[in-house]
Amino acid sequence: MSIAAAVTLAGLALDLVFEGRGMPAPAYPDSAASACFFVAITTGIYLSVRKHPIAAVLGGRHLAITTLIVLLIWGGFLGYFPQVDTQRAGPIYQRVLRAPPFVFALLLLVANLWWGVLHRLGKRLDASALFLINHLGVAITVGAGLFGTGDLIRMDVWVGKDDLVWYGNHKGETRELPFAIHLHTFEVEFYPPELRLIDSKTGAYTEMAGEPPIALEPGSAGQIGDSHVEVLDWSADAPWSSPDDAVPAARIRISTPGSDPTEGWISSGSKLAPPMFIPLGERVLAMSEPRPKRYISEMTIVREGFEPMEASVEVNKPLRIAEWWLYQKGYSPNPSGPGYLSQIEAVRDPWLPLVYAGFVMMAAGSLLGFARAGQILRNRQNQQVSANPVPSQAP
Amino acid sequence: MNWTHFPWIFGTAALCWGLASFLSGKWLIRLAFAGTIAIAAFIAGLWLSLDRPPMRTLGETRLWFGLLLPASGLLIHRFVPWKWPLVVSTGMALLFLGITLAKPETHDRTLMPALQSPWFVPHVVIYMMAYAFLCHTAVTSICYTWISRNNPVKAERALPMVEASLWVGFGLLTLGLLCGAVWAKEAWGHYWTWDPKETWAFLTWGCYLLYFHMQPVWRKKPRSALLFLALASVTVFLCWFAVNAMPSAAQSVHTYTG
Repeated sequence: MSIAAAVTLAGLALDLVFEGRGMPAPAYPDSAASACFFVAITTGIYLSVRKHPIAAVLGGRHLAITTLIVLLIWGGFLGYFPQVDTQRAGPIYQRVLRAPPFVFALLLLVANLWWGVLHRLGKRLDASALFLINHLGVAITVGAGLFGTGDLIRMDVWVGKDDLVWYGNHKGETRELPFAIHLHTFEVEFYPPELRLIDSKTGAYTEMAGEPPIALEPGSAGQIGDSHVEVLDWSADAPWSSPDDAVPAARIRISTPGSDPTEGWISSGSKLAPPMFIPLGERVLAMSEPRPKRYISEMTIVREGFEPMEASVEVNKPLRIAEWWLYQKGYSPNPSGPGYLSQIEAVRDPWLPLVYAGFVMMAAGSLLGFARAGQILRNRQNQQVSANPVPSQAP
Repeated sequence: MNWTHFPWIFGTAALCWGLASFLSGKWLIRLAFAGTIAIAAFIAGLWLSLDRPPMRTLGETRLWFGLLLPASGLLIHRFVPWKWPLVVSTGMALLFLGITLAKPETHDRTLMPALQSPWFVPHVVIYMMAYAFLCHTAVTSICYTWISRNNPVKAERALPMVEASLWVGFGLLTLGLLCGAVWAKEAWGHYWTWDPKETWAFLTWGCYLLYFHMQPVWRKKPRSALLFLALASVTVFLCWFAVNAMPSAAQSVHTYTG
């Protein structure tokens, strides 16, 4: 308990010194130097005490348990309280990620894992495969993630049709990219909108629970209570749209027993046009907001010393350019004209291969865990057989 | 297949599982299997009619839990041929499916682009399997904590079976976590951002990891081990259901949509 407690207190003291601004995250070459220094110092500490009982403490389960408990407490704060920007000092439980106590706890975890591995390496490897693979895997994953924080660059790049952009926003700072993006087209494909019911008093959506939603496509129909609803027409560009402002709308016929059928338009509205509804008793019929099905940016990547490259970026299909990855993060209506602005995220993470190596080891460790379950059950069965031996038959 | 068919499917599963609870031997297994197949058929039909994997909403994940819990119970029964774990798993499945029956959802066909990934199905299925095995662990732990209150030897005898289930559940939990991290990298550009859902997944994983590191304590106090595992299961339910209600939820990209 004393090591984890001391580390936590040291972190809290440092937080006071930093006045809540958070731990610095060094970038290369300082990040690599820090990682090497950390490995060297932890290895050196272990080797200097390996014949002393303290070696078993450093790599032992007591330190692991107390470190885990500390991390679970900080994780509880992180998971429950909204986190705020560390540029502004606030209560420490709302800026956990860069708070020194949390960072120190992660470093202690990596150190304990490494000391544990060193301590076991002297023993028979085949008896400790589960231990070594799991512990080394977590140490590599957490260590690479931690020391690589300063080298991780995630830049938001907003680009409109026919724009050429070579910069982006990284943590509030504008930075240049080593390439430029020339956007040719940005296409968004939407799902057909659906009919929605809104309570006319509260304005809340009243879902047609259990019923399949009525898609707003010509010819589709459905039942809402006693009323039969038919979609007569649908257009992404209603007759009252303007050249720069497409208004999606659907013409609906409602047939209720005991009254004449009524027809009308519903619309989810647009930048300039308000939404349109049709009353139906205590509720109103409305159109759902269009939901994107797919969006894709077609572009040319321009890099010095290379031929321009035609490429596309889509969600779940990132584009790799040298050590950078481009992700289709989102889009937004173009405030200064028709169409949309494509939001691309440019990411560079040189520590990723090391993290993935850790992932592979952790996955292998999980599979070994399944084998451990089988071994436990076999041991149990053997114990039961030993306790209740089958009597041999007399010749 | 759509939601209007679910009451019939639920009724079929309830009948099969209810009958199974009064039987033993082959008929226990056959009826438990039949009820599980009914749920599997509903999920498959829903998948085809929606043209997307039915695992986007909280109710849809409850359907999978209602399928994978008895499925894991049948698997456990294969190795530990006791009747009650299988009966409890089908009973728990009925509870979760009953909640889903009482809170019908509107299943639309939309699936946001980030969920249109080959990692979506493995990530959710592995996690639901993990939750199923951890649920077995929790229920068995709760039962034996109570049963062993006057006879600690019973706790000692139950612990190996509980730990076997735990190793499988924890292994699946780790694989689900890793699947999610790789998917996050493909879709959102980074494998771990301490999103509230990710943080609670880490807390769930960490609680069970703590258990494994306290083995010397559990050898001397098996009842305490069972109590720990019973309490650790709370993190599973917090991660699955309660994250959306926490103050941090507004910062999460993992909120279930209705």
